[in-house]
Amino acid sequence: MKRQIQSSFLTSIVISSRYLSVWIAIGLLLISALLIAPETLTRVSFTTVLPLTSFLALAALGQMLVVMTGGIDLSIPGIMTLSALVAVGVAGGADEKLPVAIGTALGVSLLIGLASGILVGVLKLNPLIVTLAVGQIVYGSTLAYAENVANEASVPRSFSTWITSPLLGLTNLEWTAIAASLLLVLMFRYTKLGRQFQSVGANPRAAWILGLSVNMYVIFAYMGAAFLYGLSGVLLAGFLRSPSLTLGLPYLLGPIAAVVIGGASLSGGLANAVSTWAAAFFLTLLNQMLRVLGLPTALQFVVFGIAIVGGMVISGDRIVTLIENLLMGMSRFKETEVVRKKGGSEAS
Amino acid sequence: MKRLLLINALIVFTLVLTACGGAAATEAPAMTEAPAMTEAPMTEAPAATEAMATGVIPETGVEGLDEFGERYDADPAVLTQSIGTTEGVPQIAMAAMYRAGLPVDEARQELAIKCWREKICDTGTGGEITVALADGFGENLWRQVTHMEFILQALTYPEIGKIIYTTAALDTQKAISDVRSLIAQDVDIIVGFPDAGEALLPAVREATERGIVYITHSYGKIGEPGRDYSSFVAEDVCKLGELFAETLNEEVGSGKVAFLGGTPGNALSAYWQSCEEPALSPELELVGRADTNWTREGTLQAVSGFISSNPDIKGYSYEAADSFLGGVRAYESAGLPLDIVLTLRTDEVGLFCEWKDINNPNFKIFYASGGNYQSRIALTAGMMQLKGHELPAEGVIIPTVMRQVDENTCNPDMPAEGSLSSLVPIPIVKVMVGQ
Repeated sequence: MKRQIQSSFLTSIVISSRYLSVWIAIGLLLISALLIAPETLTRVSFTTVLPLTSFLALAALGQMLVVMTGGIDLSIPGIMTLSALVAVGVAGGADEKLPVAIGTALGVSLLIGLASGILVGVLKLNPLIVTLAVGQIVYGSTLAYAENVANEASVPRSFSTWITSPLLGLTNLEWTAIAASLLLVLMFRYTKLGRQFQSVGANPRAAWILGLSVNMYVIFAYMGAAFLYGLSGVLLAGFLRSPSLTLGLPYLLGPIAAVVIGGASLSGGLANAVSTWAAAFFLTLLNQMLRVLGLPTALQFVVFGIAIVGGMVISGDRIVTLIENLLMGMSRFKETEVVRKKGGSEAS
Repeated sequence: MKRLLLINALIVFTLVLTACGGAAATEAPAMTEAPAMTEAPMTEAPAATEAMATGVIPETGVEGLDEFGERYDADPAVLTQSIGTTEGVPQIAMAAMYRAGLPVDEARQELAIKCWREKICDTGTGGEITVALADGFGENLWRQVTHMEFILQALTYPEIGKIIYTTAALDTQKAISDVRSLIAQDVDIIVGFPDAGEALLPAVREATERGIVYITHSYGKIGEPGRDYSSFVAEDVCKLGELFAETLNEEVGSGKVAFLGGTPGNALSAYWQSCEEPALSPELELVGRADTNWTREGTLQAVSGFISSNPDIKGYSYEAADSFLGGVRAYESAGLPLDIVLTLRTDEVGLFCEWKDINNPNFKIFYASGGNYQSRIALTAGMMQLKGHELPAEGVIIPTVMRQVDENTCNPDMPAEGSLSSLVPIPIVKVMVGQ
């Protein structure tokens, strides 16, 4: 019995260790910032870091859903930009049209997710290529839409004001992002749907044998992801008041980096929404620190890239394997010691 | 599983309903809804009044032209609105501005909008000349207004029978094939903005070898003008940097200032910054430079980085007025007063109207010119070359002056993204932005 408890404890350590590195990375970043760029940690700095973390975190959570099915999504910039422009175009600056505008933007995002989901889940096409192609189609549609309807127009003033209004120390924007993320966390932790979703991602064949409709879960993942990208785009449009056609461009690789640094398994199944949030915060804060340091853009790219690679090296499967090996090594060492002691006592 | 199916079905049903509701709301204004000529005056510019009074302007042409098909007595009001001065304006630009001041009747407005939407259009004059605007990236309002300026200018020439527009959406390969396709279509003039840079040169040289006049606008200078292609139109970018410095020296006096640029490594930002820095007073401390990609989000991040470490920064120099709205957001989010002097290259009215709303006497904005009209000058230069005028290889350089934003600068009739110096009539701009 004791052995079983010990074994389950060790297993939980191994599993949760994959999410540990992002917290270590944040700790190291905070220490570095304190030492070399303390201005990064001022209130003024956080007034930008927190909103940008929210946009990146929402997009990263969407990417996480897709990664959990073993896929990857490159249509984020297109969906974010299109949803932002649709929201602006439908609202036409009128407050009373805002609910319809946001609903339409999120609806369009869901439709795009549905299309990607069917292509990947049902037709079994490669997710990388599918989402790249879907992203191109969406970008083309965005260009056409922007040209004829809502060219760089502004969101209704009430929406942008609401987004930046403070509430309990944060802004409504940040609370919205937190609420969406919390729903996701609760779904994975406490609902059958969430558990089944994880099991489909971890082992689709076993899930299929258990009677789960793998295809539906994949479609669900892409739709959920697109919804989150759309939400992020709409919020970003509200924050900036007027979206441009380049609004989504910085969100192509950032969410993937956040998901990977957050400890998700790229082969599917395991991921953690809280760690993904933490990784989004890490990346945004790192960017802010590099700007505060006044590094040239070229050097910022290099340092940022190195940080992502470093994060990947010590996160997810690698750290799990490392800890597994360490634990197995310790257990073998103990067994050898026991055998040696036994042998010694028998000999004497 | 059933629950999942149900959720998916509900979601799809909801979004279809929502999309249907949204579709009705998103209907673009139809062509026929284009504002009538009488609805609003032009950008208050054109020399139309004088020209119409003398009755010298036939429907599709201009009288009193010289051997190159031009007149040079541009209306000072047009010059002041676009370039900002009547002094030192090159002759080719005077010719272009004369045409820019001609009246645009309702039929011509509709034709211009049709050409803007359809990308290839017949002007209906039966003219034998085909002109094209080859854009490396046409997907923002500045580029589209520049496109419209080109169309409106082309419509003043009865000799021009066809107008073509291409945009490469920042795809270098497409930019090259666009130029090659225009060569194949046997166009006479290509006005371009070569976002693809030197990669476009072989295609441009090929056009020149085929006898096509290729001219760039807005400092889109590549290769060797005069040999690889005809010429280029530009403002004096170095002078712009010096004027920025002069303004900051005078208005800020002493303290910290920062430079904001566009895309990393772009030549335009690097050029004016290299001229501004040595011209800054020793009392001013340049705390850094940051790239913004000329987007509001990029500007928000860049300005946030600056004010995190230097909340007492007193001045910025930058190109894009509209993008600086991101900078305003950074100050608003941080709860810092906008006690800054801003020197800008462009003049999108949204920032200037926001300045009026902010109503902070310590927030001062100085701007040069949006420069959309440069595509008009490039086209006129091309037409003049077709008629035997030799274009200067050193470029058609437009003078640069700084103007200060005041209570009257904000024009509430203009769309927020509209450029004050643009000569496109407001009704047309409103159609372009979907208002």
